[in-house]
Amino acid sequence: MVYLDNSATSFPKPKQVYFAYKNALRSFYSNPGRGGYENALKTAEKIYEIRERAAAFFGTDKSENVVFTGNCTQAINMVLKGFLQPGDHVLISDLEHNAVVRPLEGLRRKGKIKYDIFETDIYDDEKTMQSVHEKLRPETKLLFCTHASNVLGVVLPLEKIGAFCKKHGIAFAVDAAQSGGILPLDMRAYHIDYLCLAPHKGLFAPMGTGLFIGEGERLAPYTEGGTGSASLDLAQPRFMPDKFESGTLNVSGIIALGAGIEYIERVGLRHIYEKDRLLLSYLCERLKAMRGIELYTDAAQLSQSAPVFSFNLKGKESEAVAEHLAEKGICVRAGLHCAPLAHRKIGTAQRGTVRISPSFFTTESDINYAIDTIKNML
Amino acid sequence: MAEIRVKVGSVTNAQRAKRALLSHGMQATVKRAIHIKKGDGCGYSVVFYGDADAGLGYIKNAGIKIISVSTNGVS
Repeated sequence: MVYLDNSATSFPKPKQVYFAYKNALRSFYSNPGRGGYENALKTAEKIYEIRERAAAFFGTDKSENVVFTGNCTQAINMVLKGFLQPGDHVLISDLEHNAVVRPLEGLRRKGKIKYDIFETDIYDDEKTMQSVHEKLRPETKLLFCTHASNVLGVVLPLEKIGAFCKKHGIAFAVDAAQSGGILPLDMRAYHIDYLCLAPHKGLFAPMGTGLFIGEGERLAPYTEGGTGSASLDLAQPRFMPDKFESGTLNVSGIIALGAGIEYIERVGLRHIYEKDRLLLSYLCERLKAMRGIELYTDAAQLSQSAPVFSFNLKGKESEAVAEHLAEKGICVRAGLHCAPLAHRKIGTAQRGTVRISPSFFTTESDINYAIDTIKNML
Repeated sequence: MAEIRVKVGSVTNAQRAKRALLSHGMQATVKRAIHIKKGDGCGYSVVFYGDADAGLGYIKNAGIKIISVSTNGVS
C-alpha cells in the first residue's frame, strides 16, 4: 500500500508517537485537572509540558494560551463564533476550507456578519495583497485565512498579511491545518492573533486532536462546562485555558501529539520541509512531462508550498481516477476536498481533482509507483 | 521551614506558578486545593517552602492570580 493522503491525516506516524499513545493509556490514566493523587498530578504535568512545547514550537511564550480541541474545525469555530460581533465584517481568501466558510456563511445567513473573499494570486504575493487592500472595509474586524491550500498546496504570504492586519487594527486568524509541522510558522513574527491547527496531519498526532493558540480575552467560550476549577462559580472561568477546555481532554492523543512535536524538533522542520519539497517537485516534473495530465500549479515556480498537489486526467472523472489508484493500492483523495472556493478558482468545481499529498515518510519509490500507475491510465 | 500553600485556581495556573518558583530556585509542587470555600470552589495550589513574600512575588509577576494563601495550614 502506498499512502499519499497525508493532507487528510498523516500515516505512518513516527514510532515514538505510537509508543507515546499506547503508553499513555497505561501510564497517564487519570483525568488531568481533576484529582490530587499522584497519577492525576503526573498526567496534568505531562499535559502542561506539551502546552509549553506547542507554545514554543509556534512562537509564543504563553503556554496557557494553548487550548486542546477535538480538531482544527472546532478551533476555527471557537474563533469565528467567539470573536465576531453583530455588524462585523470579515475577510477570507479564495482558498478557504469549509471549516472557515461554513461557520461564516451560517453567521451571515443569520444576519450577524458580512464577509468578503479576497483573491490570491498563486505566483504573485503582491497581487494577493492588492486584493486584500481592495476588500478592506471600515467595519472589517477579522482576517481569517489558510496558511496553505488543502487543494493546491499554495502558501499565503502570512508575514505580509499579518503586517497589514496589525497596521489596520484587524485581528488575524490562521488555519494552519496543512502547514503546522511542515512550514515555518511563528505567531509573533507573523502577528497572528489566533492559530488553528490539525495536529493529526503535519504534527503526526492521532486523529481527534486539535489545537488553538491565542489570547482568549476577546473570545466568548464556544463550549461551557466542568473544568475542575472555580467550581462554585456557575459562570464559565475567564482564565486560560479553562475558558475553552470544558470536559475531559483527549489525554493519550495529546501525549502522542507531544511526541510528534518532539520528533519534528529532533529531525528538524527544515529537513522535513525540504524532503517534502523535493518529492513534490519530482512528482510535478514527472506529471508535467506526460500528455493527458491537467495540472493546476507548477511546484517549481512556487516560492513555498505545502506537500499537496492536485491534477486531473483529461476526459476522466477525478473520483474514477482515485478509485483506480485505490485498486492498485494507492491512497489518494479526489473530489472537492471540502474546499469549493479553491475548486471554483481553478475551474474544477464540477469534477474536482485528484490530490496527492506525500509526507516525510513517503519514499521516491512510492512516488514512482504512483506515477507509473497514472501513466498506465493514459 | 514554613509550608506556603497558594491556591491559584486551575491545574495549569498551578503549573505555571510552579515554573515561576522553580525558575528562581525555589522548589515547588502542585497539589489539590484543600479549602474549597476559600475562593471559588475546587482547584489547585502550588506548595513551596521558604520566603513567602519572595515566592508570592514570583507568582504574581508571572501574571497568575492568587486566590488564597495559607502558611502551615493556617490562612
